[in-house]
Amino acid sequence: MPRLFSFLLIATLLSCACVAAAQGQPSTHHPRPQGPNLPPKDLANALVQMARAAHIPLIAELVWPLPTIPTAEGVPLTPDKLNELVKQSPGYEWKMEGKAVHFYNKKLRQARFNFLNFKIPRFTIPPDISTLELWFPGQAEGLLQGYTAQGGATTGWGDALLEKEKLQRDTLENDTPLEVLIHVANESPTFYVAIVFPRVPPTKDAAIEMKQGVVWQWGSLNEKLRAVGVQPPQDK
Amino acid sequence: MKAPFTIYYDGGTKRYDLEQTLKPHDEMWVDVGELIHEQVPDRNGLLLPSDLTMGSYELQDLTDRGVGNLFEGKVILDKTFGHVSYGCSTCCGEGTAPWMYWDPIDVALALAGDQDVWDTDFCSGTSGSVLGAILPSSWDTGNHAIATASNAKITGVAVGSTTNLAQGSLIVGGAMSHRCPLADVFPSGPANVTPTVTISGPTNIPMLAPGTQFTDSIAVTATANPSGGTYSWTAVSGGSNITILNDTSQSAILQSVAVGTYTVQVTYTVNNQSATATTVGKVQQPGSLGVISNTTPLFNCGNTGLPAYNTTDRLIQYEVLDTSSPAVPIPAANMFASETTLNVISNTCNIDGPSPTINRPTLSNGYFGGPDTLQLCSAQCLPANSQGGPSGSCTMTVAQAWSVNGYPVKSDTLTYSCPGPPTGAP
Repeated sequence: MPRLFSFLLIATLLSCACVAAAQGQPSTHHPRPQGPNLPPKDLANALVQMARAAHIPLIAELVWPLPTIPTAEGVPLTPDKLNELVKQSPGYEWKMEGKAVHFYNKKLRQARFNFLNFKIPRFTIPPDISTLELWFPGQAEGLLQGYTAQGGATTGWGDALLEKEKLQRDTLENDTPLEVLIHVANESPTFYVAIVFPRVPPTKDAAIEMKQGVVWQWGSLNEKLRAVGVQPPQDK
Repeated sequence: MKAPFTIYYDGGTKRYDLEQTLKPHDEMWVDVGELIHEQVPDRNGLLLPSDLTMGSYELQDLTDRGVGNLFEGKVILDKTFGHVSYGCSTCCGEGTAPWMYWDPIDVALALAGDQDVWDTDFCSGTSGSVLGAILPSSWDTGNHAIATASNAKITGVAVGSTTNLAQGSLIVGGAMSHRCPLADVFPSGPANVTPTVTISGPTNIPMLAPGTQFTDSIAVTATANPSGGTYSWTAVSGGSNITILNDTSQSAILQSVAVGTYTVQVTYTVNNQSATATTVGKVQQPGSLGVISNTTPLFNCGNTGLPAYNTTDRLIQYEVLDTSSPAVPIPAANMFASETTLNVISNTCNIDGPSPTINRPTLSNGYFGGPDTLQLCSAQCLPANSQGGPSGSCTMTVAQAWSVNGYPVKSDTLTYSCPGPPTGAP
């Protein structure tokens, strides 16, 4: 009888593990898309597809590796679906911020050295979201090292669709980068931004070291279905 | 028409050739005795022997190989130089069973193909077209719902099989048959109407470095007529360079495996008739970046919230090149470009270094999604001088490295300054 009990216990544990794996355990190896540029089945791509389907602006604050989400195409970003998504994504929560959905990793949200929580003394809203995409990440990440002045340096390029999303020139004071994004998402509710951290920064030094690996993916809710690449660079 | 006249002598081992072009109702008179007696050279410069007393002759119609329009009209026996006798002319005809040259003839749906009728010429022993002997109005098919025929042209109406047939008149028989019947002939053969299929889609497939996500495949789509058939995709060549996914669907996915060329064929089958189409492409590995444009426009740093002053940007439009020598573009969408290194080496500008660009997709021509925008705006550059430029100064030096689909493609050291433009790339 004791032998039988042990066998049943092992079998139960194994089946639980299988279910957990199928329902959104973080993984660096998401199911390979069976087609060119089909989105990988990860949380970031699921959120972006759902935001596009519902035409609701999205601010996603995620940590690598991302949970696997089997299907999301055409599924709208409704409260019910967001709750389902949270069930498949342990450690995540969502919140409406005006017109925008803020979907975030709870540990990252509460992390002391998450630069999205730092205050920007003064931030001037640029003329369009494409310009914001070009300048804002550097300004937000610079807060970790005490760079609070306006301006900055850029490489990279903007987005033709986001260039059409004009913004009111405004100056925000003492807001966090997250609050800036929420402000912009409510003013021009046609974009998404997914910010994927390599991990939750445990220390300030770790946060500074990893900021070059933070992936910012911006896009228009009017764009065609495409893969959103959120895998951090491998050779950081 | 061309009418060759040949005299055979010396037991048929030697020949004397004349040729004359005749218009309708023209006559060709040949005085054999005079040719011998006057020693008239033939078209090859040969002479008939002056003591020649026996031979045969042959008259051909080279223009019309069917019934022909030449006939031997009159024979005059001239005994001035001796005795003469005459045996009647024998015909040189065609075989009794002319055949459709295209057997079977395959024509694509809604398209037309030219048919021909051939037969064996018993004079020469060779085969050739006798289409001129076929009545243009006689062409037909066994099933007009499958194909129609008009004057040797077969047109596909619906996918399937039928026959094509025609009628004509030929002089048939061998050279020694001594009979020259004009016979009706009925060439026929099978005709197949096949579906049509074409392939559309990109042809350049980028490689993807191991361990990285994103695009390493393209979708190719077959467009077929009529619908309702089956598809089968196979690699005709370069099969080791690609993997074909969805190989029985209308759209197949070609996934890169190794650098090289490939040829992929789709076979579309409906009503037991098949059509094929091929696409040729290549698998390429990102190896470097090409510069399409490099401009230095002015930028007002007032857009970033600083007091206004002008700096000069550098906008570089890159395209992805492959690893071949010389490198050629990879015109493929959704390759992912990333800055794998973006380290600040020195910085007196009191701003953070630029944020890296990670996993940004290329356009379908292999270009980056926009010009790489290098610009610097810093309070250290203020105030603006009388020309609107910076009167302050600072510099920032940054090591930069790009990868595409996980492969390193470029590295350099950028130097930003207040007046700009940034230097070093390139």
